[in-house]
Amino acid sequence: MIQGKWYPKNSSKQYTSSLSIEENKFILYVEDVPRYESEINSLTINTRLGNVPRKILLEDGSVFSTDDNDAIDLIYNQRAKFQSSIHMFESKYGFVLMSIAVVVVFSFSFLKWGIPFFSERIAYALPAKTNILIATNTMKILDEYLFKETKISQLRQDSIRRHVKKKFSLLDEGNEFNYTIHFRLLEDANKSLANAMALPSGDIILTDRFIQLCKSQDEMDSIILHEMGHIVHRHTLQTLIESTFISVVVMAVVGDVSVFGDIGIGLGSLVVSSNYSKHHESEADIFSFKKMLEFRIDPNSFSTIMQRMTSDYQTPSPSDKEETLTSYISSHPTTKQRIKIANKYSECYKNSDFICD
Amino acid sequence: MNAFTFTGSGKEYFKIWIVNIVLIIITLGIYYPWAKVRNKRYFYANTNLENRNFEYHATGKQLLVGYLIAMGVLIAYIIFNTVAPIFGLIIIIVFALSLPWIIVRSMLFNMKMTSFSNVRFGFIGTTRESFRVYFSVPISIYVALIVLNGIILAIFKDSIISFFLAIVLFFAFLQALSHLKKIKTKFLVSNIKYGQSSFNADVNVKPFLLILLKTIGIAIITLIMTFIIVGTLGYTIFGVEYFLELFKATQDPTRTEEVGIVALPILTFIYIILIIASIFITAYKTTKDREYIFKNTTLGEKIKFSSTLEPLAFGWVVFSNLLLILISLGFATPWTKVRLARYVLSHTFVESEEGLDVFITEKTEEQSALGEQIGDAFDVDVSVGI
Repeated sequence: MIQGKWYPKNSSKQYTSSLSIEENKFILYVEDVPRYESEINSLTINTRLGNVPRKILLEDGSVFSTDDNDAIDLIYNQRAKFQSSIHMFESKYGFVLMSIAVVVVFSFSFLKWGIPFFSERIAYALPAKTNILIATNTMKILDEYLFKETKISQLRQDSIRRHVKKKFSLLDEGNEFNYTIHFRLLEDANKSLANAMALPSGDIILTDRFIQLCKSQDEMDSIILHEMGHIVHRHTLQTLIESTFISVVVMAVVGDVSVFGDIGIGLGSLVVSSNYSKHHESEADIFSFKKMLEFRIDPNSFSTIMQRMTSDYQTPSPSDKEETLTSYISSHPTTKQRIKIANKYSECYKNSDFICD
Repeated sequence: MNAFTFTGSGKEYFKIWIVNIVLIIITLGIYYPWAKVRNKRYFYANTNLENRNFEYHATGKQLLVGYLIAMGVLIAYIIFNTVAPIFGLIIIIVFALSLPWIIVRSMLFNMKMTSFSNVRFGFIGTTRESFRVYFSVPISIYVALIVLNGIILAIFKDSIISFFLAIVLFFAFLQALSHLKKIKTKFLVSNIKYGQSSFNADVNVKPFLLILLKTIGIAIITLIMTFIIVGTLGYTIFGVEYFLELFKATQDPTRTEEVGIVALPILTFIYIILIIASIFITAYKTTKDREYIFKNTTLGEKIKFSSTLEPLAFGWVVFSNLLLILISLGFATPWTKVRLARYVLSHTFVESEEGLDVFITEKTEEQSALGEQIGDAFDVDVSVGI
């Protein structure tokens, strides 16, 4: 006998009731009086969910409700194998532990490999014009707030531009990216800074101090190729897509788009995006090294200019007292690793290899 | 007076929750509607009042189409917004225009899919009414605000009159928002049916306005207090030279990066305090609105409601839940949901003179052909601070 409550069709009136089961038949008792008798197969039984009261719909539209889930399972599980299996997952500790493991492994892999992978695919799937679109006005804003006019002579500028155009014209992937070299002065606390950057539109910006630091054309080329690597691999677009992914993931975890979401997105992107940008740097490096082998430039040039730029950045200018405030920002722990890979490619170069693994 | 009780447990719900997530992952998201049904069924069925419980009747299949459409629109929006913001804007406008219809469909569906003690709820709000509440009135309020503000600035410029008129306009705006809150509440509550009985929310503009004004007052005081606290702490910890140095740096455009680095710890600190404050301020408004709405809502002639949520206690539950979720990287979510449900329900009461049992037993479900037509649904969660 399964004890429970019985509701007439569409009515909220409750009666104490019980269900007696005999092989394929059942008898429903309402207040101890037999009321209904039929085949078990005619019952519509809810799937089990934890220990919430089970509702059983009878053919006449009335409802029998009981807390005795186990007894109902005995007749239910024989009929609906698949439906009951979800409850089986939920009730077995082994499955629950396995589920936790699956979720942890999946979340970790998705963050570490999934997001960069999909972002890359999406970035390549979007038309190349997208890259130009997202860079609209960037140059203007940078000029207004970051850069000053270059002091490099027009003659030197033209000769560098001509050289790049001649040497790397093949790299202009069917004119998808229109590589343009810009010269700008970048200063911080009256100190000229060496840097090079790329906009997704194909604009490559070289700072005055960088030009000064280059001791050979090969060194300059190695950095220009690195910047081209960022452009070819659509890194800015990828970063945009990655941050969108992170926002969506955090929203899903935290549950809504409120203040909570904001904290999560802030923290999440901080941790994850630094990881992704490292990946982008090494991808651009590899692009540069491979092209250098192709154009017969010694990848060693990359290490020499990188080392020079790093030490130039770290040398404190003795006149500046305020230097103490900024002294802790510039540390590039990855520079060593990057130089190591450059040296590996340099070995290949010396062996006249075109492919280096 | 009878309080609702919640009989679910965090441990039990955790198992349901984690299996849901795994199935969502394995099916690449397709399982989501079925997962949602299991979640809702768990919370509804564990919500009890006088030995009777709620039930959620929708099936995953019914939610699937709406879910797929919603996901499609969301993805289209994200892509367009990144690539060509103008198309993103068009999607938003189309969405805003269709929102009233979506809300009516969603309320209709969700009420029809909810039962208490074997009798289902219903919703009789019309799209026309919804359009007024969710589109024409709010749009008119914002347009009027912008236009009047523009007129004031154009005529009086930067004079003191303009300042006073702006303050008057601000209070008129708050009054309009309270009016909006009133018609929203009436639309959502008074159109709900339980069997043949109707809910009725007898609410007015003035109490909503008072709650809004108090909330703004608390927010302003909190803001001032935050800056006093941060100022004093900053002074005692870093000393005055730090701030002088910072001030000097802000005057020098070449040192913007430096300013960013130096000011970052202070800004982070202020940011965290303001987030915590905003949780408690929101909790104040939510609980007070809820208290007022419940007190003035009736079902049929005889059933009354009340809510005794306390702003601080409720805010604490929300805030500590958030911390638990962050610390556990999301794994504490099931416990936090159960905790919130248990807290909110135990502070929600139903009263009736003749006893709920008598009222309930008389109810039978209204027969209508409409129920059959509902079919699939956009399932948007609409709330009136309930």
